[in-house]
Amino acid sequence: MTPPLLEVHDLHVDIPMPHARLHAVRGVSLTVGAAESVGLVGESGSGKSLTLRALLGLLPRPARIVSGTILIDGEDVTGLPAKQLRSRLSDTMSMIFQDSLTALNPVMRVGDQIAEAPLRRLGKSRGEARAIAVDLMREVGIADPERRYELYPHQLSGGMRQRVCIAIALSTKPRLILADEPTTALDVTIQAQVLGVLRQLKQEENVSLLLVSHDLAVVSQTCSRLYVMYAGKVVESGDLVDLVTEPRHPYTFSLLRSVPDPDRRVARLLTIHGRPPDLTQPLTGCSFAPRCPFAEDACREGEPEPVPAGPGRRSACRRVDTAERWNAMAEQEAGSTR
Amino acid sequence: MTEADEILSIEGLARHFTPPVSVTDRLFRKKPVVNRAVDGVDLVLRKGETLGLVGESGCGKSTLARTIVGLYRPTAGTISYQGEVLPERRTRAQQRAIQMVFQDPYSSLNPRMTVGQMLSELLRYHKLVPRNKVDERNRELMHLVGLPESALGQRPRQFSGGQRQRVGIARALALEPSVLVADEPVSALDVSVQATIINLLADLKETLHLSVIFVSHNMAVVRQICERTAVMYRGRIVETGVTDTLFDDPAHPYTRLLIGSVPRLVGAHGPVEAEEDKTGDLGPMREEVARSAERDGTRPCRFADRCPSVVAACADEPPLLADPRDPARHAACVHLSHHPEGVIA
Ligand SMILES: Nc1ncnc2c1ncn2[C@@H]1O[C@H](COP(=O)(O)OP(=O)(O)OP(=O)(O)O)[C@@H](O)[C@H]1O
Ligand SMILES: Nc1ncnc2c1ncn2[C@@H]1O[C@H](COP(=O)(O)OP(=O)(O)OP(=O)(O)O)[C@@H](O)[C@H]1O
Ligand code: SF4
Ligand code: SF4
Ligand SMILES: [Mg+2]
Ligand SMILES: [Mg+2]
Repeated sequence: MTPPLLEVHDLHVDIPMPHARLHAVRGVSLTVGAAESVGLVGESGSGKSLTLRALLGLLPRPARIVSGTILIDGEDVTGLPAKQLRSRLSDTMSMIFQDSLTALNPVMRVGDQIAEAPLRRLGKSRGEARAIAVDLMREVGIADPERRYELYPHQLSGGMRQRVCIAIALSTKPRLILADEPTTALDVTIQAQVLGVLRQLKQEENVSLLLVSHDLAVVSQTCSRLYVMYAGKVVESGDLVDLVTEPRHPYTFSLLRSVPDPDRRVARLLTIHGRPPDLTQPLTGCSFAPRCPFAEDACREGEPEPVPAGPGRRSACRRVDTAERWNAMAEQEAGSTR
Repeated sequence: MTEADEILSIEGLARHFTPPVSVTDRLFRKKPVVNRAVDGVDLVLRKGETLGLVGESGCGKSTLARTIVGLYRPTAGTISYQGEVLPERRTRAQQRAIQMVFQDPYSSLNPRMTVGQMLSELLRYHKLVPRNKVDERNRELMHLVGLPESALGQRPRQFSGGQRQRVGIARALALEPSVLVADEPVSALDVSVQATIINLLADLKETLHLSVIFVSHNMAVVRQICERTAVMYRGRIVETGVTDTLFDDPAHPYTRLLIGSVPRLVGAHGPVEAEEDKTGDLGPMREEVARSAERDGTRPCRFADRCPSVVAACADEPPLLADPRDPARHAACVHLSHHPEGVIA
């Protein structure tokens, strides 16, 4: 069997602070196959961005990788000398950020920014690089690319700028694109277009995608598999449709019930009470226990490890065997507090 | 519906921004480009309802909200409160009656004051309760928004985002308003916290008999809590109606695009498909609209450059009119009176 394109094992990221140490990513493992779109969701501060950035060696200071292995095509690249590692990672993957305005160079024509990698890294001539850039612009749905090649970032709308960023990400011919909330700053009509471009990349170019978002609906528009993060760990993973229709971790379950549905009005939104744990302190039990509607005493002793929870699925909940009853239990709970 | 049901009635409201004229502009006699942020809004808020105000970034939602609460002076048009046109300088009672909740509660709170100090100052300034009852009222306000009494001794930075938004709501409620204008009150919050604030607003509306204008770009949230919804596009209202109807059967092409673009979870499909992308062959029609508007001195529909249903008649921007099929709904589109059944308004 061919190994997956990307494998991450037990990634830990720390942020040293004046009087403490924030254990922001606490053992994340994930895989992305060739031409596969994978989503990573979780609430604010759960460590999604740090995980993505760690994969490309782009961690913000003072964050640092404490341990973990990264395999590309089954080969452990973590031990490679720094320079080799860097080029190995950046040959395989490129990244798109939420804020396209700060990601782009304000004083350089957008076309030249797309042509830069073909020119400098792929050794193309000026003319060739320009032609490649124009093709990429067309590919990401920028109409009239020859004219827009000459424009500067501030002369483009947010949606157009994000397309330019996607084109730049594609210009190194990566096999995997890491996208961190690429549509969060966009209006919903523009978001729909950019998500369409990302979907098309997978279908037509066989580029894999690791998409980070706090919005389950955005991820479900583009991805076939899902990782759910909570407090620096993946608490549930598996086929996206399975996860969304039959969650097997109480955090995923609660998240799904608190997201409002644009097509149906409910009497009352369910809420997740409380806040995620402070990760500068050691955890004594399941990280979700203080907020979990199904917690029992045993949950506060020792953190549950991810266990198989159906075909291709894992859940880090010790009560996963009761998942079928969660709906009924939550209804009962809601009824009694009303 | 009678006028007595209306708590706010807005007619022809405009708020334009004129950039300062620079020296070079004056030198070259360049006219500054006026930003017509709010450009002729007609809108009614009924007693006891929550009215959603949606639309893309920059369409003028916040400007409209701020003009309604009196933070901006209208360039044109009127705002009537309980049948009376609000004067340029509102009385204290009129100021109190219409209050605002901001998107970013942090920047709208004084970082140096404790919540208790801030609320006491407001209560004293507006002489809402006798001096010896101020502390009691403060505690009452904390209960109302679901904060512990100890919160009165804390400063804004000591709260989480959701708690800060509760403080922002408490401050608005301190003045005993009858209208609450909430500008993206949950947009800065995490999904799980969003739901608690939405539920809180819904409860407060019931217990305090508030009428609420709820500004949001999140269509799903609007669907949950707003009885009626108004859609804004580049400074104007292009459609209003009962929320369920507007979402399930949008009349205006922009509303259709908006509703169709909202991402859904797997397996779920919206009632309409976003159509904007199928418009490759409409270029000539758009040019014709622009040309004939210029020739006739009309202003084309402001959606004509993106609209998938554009026709020659769009060269003259249609007003917001009642839908002949359903008078509860209004839309500003030439197709409204030419719908398939052929009934002309
Ligand atoms: N440069 C930094 N300095 C200090 N703390 C940081 C830094 N970057 C991230 N953190 C902290 O690390 C944790 C994880 O951050 P991360 O940005 O990965 O979260 P996220 O899941 O991407 O959240 P969001 O949805 O808000 O983007 C958070 O508690 C955050 O405050
Ligand atoms: N104080 C101001 N001075 C000058 N221009 C302004 C001012 N406030 C808003 N504008 C402009 O008015 C237009 C409408 O802005 P507004 O903030 O009302 O939009 P919005 O619908 O609230 O957008 P968003 O969803 O991004 O909050 C924009 O072009 C904006 O730049
Ligand atoms: S282990 Fe216990 S506390 Fe943790 S998610 Fe499962 S049921 Fe809830
Ligand atoms: S008036 Fe014309 S351009 Fe405007 S929304 Fe209706 S069909 Fe579209
Ligand atoms: Mg992030
Ligand atoms: Mg706004």
